[in-house]
Amino acid sequence: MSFHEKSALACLISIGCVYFPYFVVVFRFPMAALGLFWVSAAALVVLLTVFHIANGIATRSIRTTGEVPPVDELDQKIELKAAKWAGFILAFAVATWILIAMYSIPAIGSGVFEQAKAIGNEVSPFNFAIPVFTAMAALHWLFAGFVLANIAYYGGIVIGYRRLASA
Amino acid sequence: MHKVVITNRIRELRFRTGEITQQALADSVGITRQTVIALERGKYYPSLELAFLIASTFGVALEEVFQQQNTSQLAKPT
Repeated sequence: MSFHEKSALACLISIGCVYFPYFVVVFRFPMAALGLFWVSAAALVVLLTVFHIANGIATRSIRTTGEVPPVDELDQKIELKAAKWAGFILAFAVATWILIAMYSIPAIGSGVFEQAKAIGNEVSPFNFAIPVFTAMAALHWLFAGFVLANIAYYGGIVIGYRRLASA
Repeated sequence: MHKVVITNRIRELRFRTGEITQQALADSVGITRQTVIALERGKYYPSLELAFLIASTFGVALEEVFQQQNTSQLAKPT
């Protein structure tokens, strides 16, 4: 297993270990993210640092000459393919987020204002508020899209190398 | 559309040219050993630039390292 493959695997494992429990909690309790985000960010940094130090120690070229193995054209091709799939996933996440936003936020013409007026309430577009739980859940979905795209990227790199290694 | 299969004699040439190791070949052309392994197994076709570099490392012409094995005629668009 090459340095770059191990590095991608380390990123994949770290992101999975940190963000899987993170999203399990924040999709059930959207407001928990306010404190949990910083804990998960710190945990990710610690995990990545530990993995990369171990990877550096395990790599002979780094031990002997202190040099990271070069990224050649095959590495670039594998990374580009992985980035393509990550891009598709990110685009899907953003597109669904836009759809959720379109259907969740009340807008003039959707009947919300007319219904409010009908029951005698004074409303205008300026005194509307989105429920904070809905807003946070939508925000988490967008963030989850970025995390999923990262998982697809590093997973794609690992799969690319594994395909080459298989007989 | 033509499907081109390219084979190579990198492994054979390594042994014929002073038993160069995969790592030594990789270092001389600026790639990783993993890429040399992928090339030898026919899992990856190199860029033209890399192909010329490999051939010049062995001191032979490009077509002595890389050969077109066969071409099969696939569905031709009308």
